[in-house]
Amino acid sequence: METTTSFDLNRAVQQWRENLGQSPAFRGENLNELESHLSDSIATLQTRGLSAEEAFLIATRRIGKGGALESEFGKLNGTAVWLDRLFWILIGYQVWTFIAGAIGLITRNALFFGLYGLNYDFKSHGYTIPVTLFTLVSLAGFAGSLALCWWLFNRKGQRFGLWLGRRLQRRTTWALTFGLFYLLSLTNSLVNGGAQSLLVRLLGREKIDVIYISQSISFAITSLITSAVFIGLTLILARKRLRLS
Amino acid sequence: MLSKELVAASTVPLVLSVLTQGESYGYELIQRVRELSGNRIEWTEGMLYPVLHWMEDEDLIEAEWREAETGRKRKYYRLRKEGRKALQDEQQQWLTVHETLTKLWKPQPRLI
Repeated sequence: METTTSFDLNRAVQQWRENLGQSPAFRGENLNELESHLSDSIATLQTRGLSAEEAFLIATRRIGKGGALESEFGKLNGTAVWLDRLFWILIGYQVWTFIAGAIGLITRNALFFGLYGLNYDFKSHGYTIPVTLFTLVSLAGFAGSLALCWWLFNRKGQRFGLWLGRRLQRRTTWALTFGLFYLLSLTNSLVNGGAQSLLVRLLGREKIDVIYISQSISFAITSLITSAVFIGLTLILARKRLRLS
Repeated sequence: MLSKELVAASTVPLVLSVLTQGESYGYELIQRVRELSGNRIEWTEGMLYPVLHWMEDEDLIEAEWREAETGRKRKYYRLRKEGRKALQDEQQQWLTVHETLTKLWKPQPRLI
């Protein structure tokens, strides 16, 4: 059966190059050389009577699979690979901090204002209820932020990476992106500060002390649990890595 | 077909030897080796480039981007003095292995 879609050789070559270019293992010069090789290979195959599409398929096959090439080139361009990893670790850390901060901010203040709205008597009921509630809410927020980050990097990671990579290439968009990230984290702290001062005004000094103390206690408990979770996750990843290598 | 290990070990001497006949670029080097070996040495083509770059870093060869007659740019590789020296060493080693194996594999009447 005849295919109706025509094969665009230039586009296919560019797409192939872009795919390889996603990896830090290849420098621009490496890609130029591989592309030059691919073009020579395709041209030779075409003189033997193959169609553009057939020639492209065979030439890319002969040049080797992306993963195998990546690991060999990666050995040469080790610093670039290492810097790329560090870059993504930092991005991941900042995205997580922001998401966890925003979720924490919303849930914590929802709890404060919720209790305030229910006319909860902060002064006479002691610490047990606020501490338990704060801890539960923080843990739920922590789990939620982890799940959200997991989803973001697993499902949208490639698109997010492409988007960010493109922004960081030009100086103007680079500065804009940096500014945007900075503004977002600034908004977090500003909203938090505003909510806190509003609470102080609504509840008065004495009651707010109960909130602060219960918050500190619940913070300590949450930290113990989140640290354990992080160590656990690291160990699971280490085992998985061992099995895969 | 050569084993993976033998391909890895023989790539550098093969490249050095082809380059003694004059400068060349990656695609041509591969074609040349394939031709000379009667299609028995088949490299995963892309794998040659990391080796070439390593040889460049070691000063065995030098490279230059130039426009080819097709109008496209190609990276041409040339042998350097260090490369010639390295090739002499390689030659010695490969010949030693070759001679030893040939002696061992000669038909020996005593064995029958």
